[in-house]
Amino acid sequence: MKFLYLKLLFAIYFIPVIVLFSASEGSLDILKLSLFTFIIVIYGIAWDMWATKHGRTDKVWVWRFNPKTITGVYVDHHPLDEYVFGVLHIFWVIFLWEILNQAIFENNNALLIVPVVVILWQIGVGYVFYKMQKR
Amino acid sequence: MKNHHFRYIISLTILAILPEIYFLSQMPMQKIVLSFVIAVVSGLFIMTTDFGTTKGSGTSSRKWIWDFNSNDILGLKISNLPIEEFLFPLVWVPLPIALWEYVKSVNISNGGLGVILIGTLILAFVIFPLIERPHTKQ
Repeated sequence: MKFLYLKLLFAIYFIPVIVLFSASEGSLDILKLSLFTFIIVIYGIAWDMWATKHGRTDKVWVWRFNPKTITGVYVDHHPLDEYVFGVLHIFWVIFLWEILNQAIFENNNALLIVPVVVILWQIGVGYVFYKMQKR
Repeated sequence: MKNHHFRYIISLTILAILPEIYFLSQMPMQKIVLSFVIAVVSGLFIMTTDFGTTKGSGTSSRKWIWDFNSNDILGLKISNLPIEEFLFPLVWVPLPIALWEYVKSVNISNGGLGVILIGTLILAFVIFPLIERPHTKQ
């Protein structure tokens, strides 16, 4: 089950991010988006590190990761997979938000099909993953 | 071992819920509603995935991805998920949206984004660790 987390991220976030990015037609300010993503990922990872760091010094932690299902690559004692999750989650939220804004507030209704398909894909992947884990 | 049942909910409140309330309050109501609609709908796949990732956690199973410590959460669980975890989509979807809307309104040439960046780093790396001291070795 090595790389399970990364495979899950690929199916549930990476593919939707590519689709949403393609549909956003380059309408985003890439400089602002990059700086913003950096800020949020640093912010989230700092919290994540705090919540998991106690596992290194004592037996108390808020959450922890299974070394058998992550890549095994660590950046500052933190799984690389979590950084990937942070970046993909932020891209996904922002691209989705911008497309919905265009669709709803700028009356570009044809764009609505993209987020609907993406969310349905993600729900499907989530359900299949859950069923696989139950077996 | 000492229990710290409010550790997760307190950290979530300080680092995410309070900033979320502040930044959402800067947005028009229709955008706030839309951000929560996205949060609830996307919560369907986020929570389904979360149930899957914690399946078999705390056991020798090779399949679980993450796991929560019963000593550091409120204690109420649905399947393997602490009830605090159900706030995840309601926080980590509207919060980035509200922050993004704020960042979009900031003029980079005036150094506005730099102030946000420094503020974020101070909050994340200085203030929070001071509030929440690490455990001593058990």
